[in-house]
Amino acid sequence: MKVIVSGGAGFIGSHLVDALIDRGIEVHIIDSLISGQKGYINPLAQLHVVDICSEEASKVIMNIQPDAFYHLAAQADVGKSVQYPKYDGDINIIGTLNILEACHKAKVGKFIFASTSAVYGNLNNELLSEEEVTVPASFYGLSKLTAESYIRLFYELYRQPYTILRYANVYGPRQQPKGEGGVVSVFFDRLRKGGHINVHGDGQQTRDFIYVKDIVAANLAALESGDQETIQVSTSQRTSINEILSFLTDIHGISILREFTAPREGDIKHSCLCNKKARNLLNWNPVYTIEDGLRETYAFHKQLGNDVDSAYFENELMG
Amino acid sequence: MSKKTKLLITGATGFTGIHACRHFHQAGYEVIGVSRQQSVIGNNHPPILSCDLTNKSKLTELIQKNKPDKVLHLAGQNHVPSSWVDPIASLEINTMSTAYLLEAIRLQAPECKVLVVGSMLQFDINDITTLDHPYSLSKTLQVLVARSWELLYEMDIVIAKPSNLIGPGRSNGVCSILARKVAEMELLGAEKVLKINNLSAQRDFLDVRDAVRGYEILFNKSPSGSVHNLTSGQPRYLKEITSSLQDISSVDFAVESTEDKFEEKVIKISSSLILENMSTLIPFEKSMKDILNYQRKSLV
Repeated sequence: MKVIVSGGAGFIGSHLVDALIDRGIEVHIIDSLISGQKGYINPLAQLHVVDICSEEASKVIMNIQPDAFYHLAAQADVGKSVQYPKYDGDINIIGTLNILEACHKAKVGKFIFASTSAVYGNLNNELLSEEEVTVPASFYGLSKLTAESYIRLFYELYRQPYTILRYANVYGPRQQPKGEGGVVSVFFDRLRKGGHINVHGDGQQTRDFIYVKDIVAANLAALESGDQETIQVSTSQRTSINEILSFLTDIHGISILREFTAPREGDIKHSCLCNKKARNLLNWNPVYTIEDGLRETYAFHKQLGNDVDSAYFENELMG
Repeated sequence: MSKKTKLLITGATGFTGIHACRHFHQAGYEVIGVSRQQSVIGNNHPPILSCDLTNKSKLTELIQKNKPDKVLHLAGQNHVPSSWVDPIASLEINTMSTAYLLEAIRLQAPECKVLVVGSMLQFDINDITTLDHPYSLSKTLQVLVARSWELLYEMDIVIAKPSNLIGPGRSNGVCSILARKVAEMELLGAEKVLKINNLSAQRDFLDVRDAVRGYEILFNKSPSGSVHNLTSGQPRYLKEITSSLQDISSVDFAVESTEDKFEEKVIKISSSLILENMSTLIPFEKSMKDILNYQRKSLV
């Protein structure tokens, strides 16, 4: 079996590549290395440094003719999408379209797409299902939703098989302290470098935090199942910011210093995605508790070594 | 899980207490500061309650009313010369008030975890000739009291023994005293000579902000009954203080010493729990800069 992973040098993509190679699958990576890191790339994977928007990317797909294509390459920074909507659209919509066309021509057996809970926008429901109305509140959410629509229409018009996976807030080793759901990586950044975090509101807001290895497992399951479905990959569990901080204090011994600031206008208080469909259709279950996931992520950061600069101490107000 | 840990800090307006209140407040604890005097520390600082720890009934009432989850016991008389003048006061404040506090916690909040901050200036109880001053007597007995309550009543008590704590704030330690004199030279035109007893004496200096982070590690990770050293592990000659001040001060000054006798200090290192969990310490030069800046500010 042969697969291509776009964004295979990125946070989630690199973990997926590792898991695919562990299963003896031939893996090719398409990555522009704009945000991907060379150091994350599995040495057994074959890297093609091309942009998903380029003609070269199409040629790579035509040449390799993979059995499946995992499309994880994206502009994943919500803030950036709001600041530069065209840049976001070029990568997330036009880039996906470019890849989809090539996959169709190369008769790729399955197109598996990394989507996001940002497609729902600021819905304040207790537990969201896939049937929920989608009203993106950022250009990132909109570009991902648009890409989803193209994927579905490619099936309707060209019978290009697909599975769309909508991820909850993913965290884990190799995540950069920016981009979507990167709050946990910001916490780890502070543990290593010192400094305060700003907590908007009382810290009781909850999110559905899912460990990257559970996301990888769902992606593997999608090779064989979930055809022509849009499926949420989540824990169905709410975890508050305060709970995460408290777990991290237990693990690290020293708390991250925090400043509680006014809640941001329009911020969602609670966000949680139902994972019933994933459990039924993918025969998949998240196996990591938040504690286990945070412990593994902590071990990863610990092994990177401490990087405390003067930030912690400069921030300290003088008595 | 979402309920804040209630932490009571004694000696809250002292040198370490102010840093501890600020750290634990920002770390998300519900901090209750306790001090002999009623004080207001300013914005962004937890409230300070007034209680004299030698007043048993008031102390019991304080614990009963607040039912803390954790107690950081910093209060004490920490000046060696004063202990010569009034040794009974040292015993009252350092030893007996620790007993009063632990007894009040035993009766009113027995689940509470207590961190008793002792001192490295302990004498060997098997050899009374190692006793140097009444302060050492009071602090050695304080540790014995804490260990006894832990053993006899199975209370959750941990003991920290920090070396000389330095940093910005109102400290009567040698680094602050010397920095204050330099600040007076800079701002008040004081005589540009720094006098010091023995330039080649050695001490271990630890930044108070590192000590406070160490206390949090002990709260979160230390088993009951254990005793932990907190040091920088790097003794320094007193002349390193004066030369550091000469490097960072805007004025040139001379250093005079009454003697220059080499005194080697036995290196004590922090407990393994502290070393494992706190890999980076504030550099000595950074501490000295912050101390001088604090002393400059407090003069104007």
